[in-house]
Amino acid sequence: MGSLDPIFYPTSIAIAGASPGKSGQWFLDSIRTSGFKGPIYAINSKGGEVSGLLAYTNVKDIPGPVDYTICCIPAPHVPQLVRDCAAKGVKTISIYTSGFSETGTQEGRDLEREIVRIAQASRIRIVGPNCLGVYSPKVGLSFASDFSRRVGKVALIGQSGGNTSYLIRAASQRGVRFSKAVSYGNACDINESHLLEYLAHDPETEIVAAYIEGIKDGERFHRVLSRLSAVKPVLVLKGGYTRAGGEIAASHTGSLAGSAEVWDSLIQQSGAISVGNLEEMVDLLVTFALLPLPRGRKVGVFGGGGGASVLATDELTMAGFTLPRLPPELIKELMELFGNTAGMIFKNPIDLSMVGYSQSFYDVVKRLLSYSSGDSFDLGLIHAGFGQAAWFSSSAFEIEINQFRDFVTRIHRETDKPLALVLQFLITNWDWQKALDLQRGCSEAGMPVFHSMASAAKAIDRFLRYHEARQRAGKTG
Amino acid sequence: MNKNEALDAVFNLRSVVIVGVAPGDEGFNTGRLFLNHIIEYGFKGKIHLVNPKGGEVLGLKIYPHLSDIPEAVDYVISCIPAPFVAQLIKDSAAKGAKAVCLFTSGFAEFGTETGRQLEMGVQRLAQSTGVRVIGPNCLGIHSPKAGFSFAPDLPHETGPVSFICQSGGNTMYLVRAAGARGIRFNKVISYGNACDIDETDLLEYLHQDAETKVVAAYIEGVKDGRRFYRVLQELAAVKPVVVLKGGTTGAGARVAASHTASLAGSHDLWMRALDQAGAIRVNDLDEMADMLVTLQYMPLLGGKRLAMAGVGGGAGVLATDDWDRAGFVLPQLPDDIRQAFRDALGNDAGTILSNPVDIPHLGFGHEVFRHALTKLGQFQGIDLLVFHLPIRGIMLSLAVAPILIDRETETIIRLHRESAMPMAVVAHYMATGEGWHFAAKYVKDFYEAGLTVYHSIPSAAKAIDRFIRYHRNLMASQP
Repeated sequence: MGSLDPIFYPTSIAIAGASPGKSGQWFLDSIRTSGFKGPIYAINSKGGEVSGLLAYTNVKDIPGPVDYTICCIPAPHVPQLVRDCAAKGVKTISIYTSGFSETGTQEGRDLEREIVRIAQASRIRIVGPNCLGVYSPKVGLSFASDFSRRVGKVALIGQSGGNTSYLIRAASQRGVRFSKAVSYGNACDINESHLLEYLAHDPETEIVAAYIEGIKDGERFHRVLSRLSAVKPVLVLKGGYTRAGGEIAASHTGSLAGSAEVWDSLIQQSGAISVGNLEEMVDLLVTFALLPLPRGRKVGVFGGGGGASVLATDELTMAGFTLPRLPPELIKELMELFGNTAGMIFKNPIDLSMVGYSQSFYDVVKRLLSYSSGDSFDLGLIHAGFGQAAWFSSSAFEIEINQFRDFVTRIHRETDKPLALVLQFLITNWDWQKALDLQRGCSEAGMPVFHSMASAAKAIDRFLRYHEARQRAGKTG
Repeated sequence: MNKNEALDAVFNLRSVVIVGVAPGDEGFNTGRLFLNHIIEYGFKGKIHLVNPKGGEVLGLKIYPHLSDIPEAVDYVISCIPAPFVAQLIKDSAAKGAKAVCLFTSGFAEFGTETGRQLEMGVQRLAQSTGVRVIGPNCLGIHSPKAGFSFAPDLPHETGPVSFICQSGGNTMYLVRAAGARGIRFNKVISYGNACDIDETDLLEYLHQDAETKVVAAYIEGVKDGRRFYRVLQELAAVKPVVVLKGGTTGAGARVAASHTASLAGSHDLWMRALDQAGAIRVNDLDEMADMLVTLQYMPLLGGKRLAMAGVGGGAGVLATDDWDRAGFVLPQLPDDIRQAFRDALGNDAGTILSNPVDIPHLGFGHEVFRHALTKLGQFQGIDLLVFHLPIRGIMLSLAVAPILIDRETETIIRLHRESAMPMAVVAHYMATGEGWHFAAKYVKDFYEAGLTVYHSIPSAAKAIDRFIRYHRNLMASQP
């Protein structure tokens, strides 16, 4: 098998079934707004015009070479299109069309088998069917016009188009950038093992995330996953983990899901990281992509205050972190510096509600992060509990929040300690927009942002355990 | 005055005094914040202000002393430093006030001998004078019925849920978070260090309060374990009580001690006691909101069989895993219902025709889909119908999203109105700015129509499972 490079770096694209108002036009528009530099062609058996492009009636009529075709035509016509594309010298066909093995019908299975036969007889490769295909920001290929155009170090493979889109959007929103992503559907030709094998050697990918419903070849998958996990962290979310879920997966992507026990031992042996749901996946991507590795589990929590700090301490403690007390000499120094009357603020968690989001916030946090002794922090968490703030009027809040963002990003830029923001969101008209602005500011500055202390604690604990296990393996191996 | 009478009086207050308001020509202070927030929330009763310096602010006269106020006062809010509080309690008693809320901190929670002494002094004065003290170190009461609150953005409508909370910030969070999902509160109190009126007094009060149907409590520590247990047990026998214990870990307890001077008690002891007393125990504030939403909106369920209709194939796969983990069953749908959906569906990618049923965003607007969904709502093989909405599907462009979402909302609300089937909506907060915007609107439409709304399948499953167990236990314990 050749390299999968052509799948991710096409130089010319055709969309088959590009008619106005249909999915074909949607793909076309997504690619055009994502900055693709090469030629884009529309194909429609009836001809006509779509998004200002004159449609060719057949891929073979296109004058120049075509690398990559997106198929949006009805299932019964797909085999002929694959033949035509093969004849044209197309390297990849990404098939959005559904109605194949996932229908559970003989007809669907036969159709899928037929396109695989055509692909094997020629050199064309199939992504899908029943998928959204490739997101490759480097060449401006995308299946949604709102995806980021910036290139990063995370690769994502997803068997579900919706879940793949969700992960790209949710992780991008929090500062994670992708090298490439692929929604690969029924995986009739290119499957999860091919993709993971490729990513192991992809110099542009440092972290791999996978949403998988079923695997085609268990032994091969195990081998590939182990090899990949030896060189890069691999985060795997299994859809259809339970028996009930597995039955649904079968009718979603025609996958045989396998038992939970087999899956657990496979993941564990391979050294991959098992993920429970989409939100956890996003938290882990944020952690692995943006947080420097803490040396240990001593955490300083800055802000929050009162009951939020009580609950935060419970969450962190339950996840195996410790919150060291501040040494008396440091408290003394801070008292002298800030002349504070309320001794209670110099504890860990540090209640900074008295100083608000002012210069003193910046000074105190900076001092605490730079303090070095046996008990100095390995990790700092800035705790902004928006929903908890009783004492801001909306207008005061707006000014404060911009100031806060500037201080937080400045501290993040200046410190060499791992630092994250825990931003407790609430959907209320009052503060979601402000919280979102703050998140955007911090995420764009490359700072990890979490939405609860519990999820931050869980993700960072997994991050530490992953590295601890690798260290142990390194020592014994 | 006994505690119940005092609490009745302050939850129905007609006049308030804020002590320690900075005059208009001075800077902002916490007294001013209370004043602004009380006015902005729309309090219709009398607002009086006290500061030894006199002066005025926002056109209101500031009296130098409490006794200078010509009218009666119900509720006193103290924003003055701790050492002056004892005198204020005496003055409040002389003035005939029913209760004093001490926003002031600097008492036992400081962990200093001075702080402890000051607090003990306040406690003794409350006992000897009969004026009741809320706090210190708290925000006091939120009572929509009296048009009174400490924060302007909290809901104005009154409802069946009362909430007692040892932390001011957590009070804010829960009232907002649950409020955004349709929970309306009857009485809310942030009670801080609880030197006079404590958690047990409050639970006892809410037990006999006819307006309170559901009780929620965030507690960091209790004063008298035995009495607390007895009162909680008696309350839980007649009303659902949702309890979140802060400071369950050793480190958390240390923080709780410096927050509200609470003795937290051991984790296991607490968990056992809460279970045995019949309380509904939750682990965080979001779980508490989930539980309150369930208790207020969900009808009694016959069992754990459900059908789910929602957008997205992969989302359906993961949702099925989550329901299964929480012990729910998604039974096979009968042929006629499957056929109804088959008739409605075209050739969309990854469309699933079993349970869950995968419905494209576009589908909700069409009559054929409504017909199929109506049939699903009549299916006798399920106890609950869940709509799973990821806010923004794969191909939903921003231009059409609002229209489609309106259609979805309308279809679901109509089904809910016309069917006796218990229904819930799981509306994911999509992680993009637009997604949040849609979610806020969407959720409001749903709860106003009486639907139970959750934000993820695992949280919905957990709350509904607890709800079912709660009712099962309640039935088992009844003679």
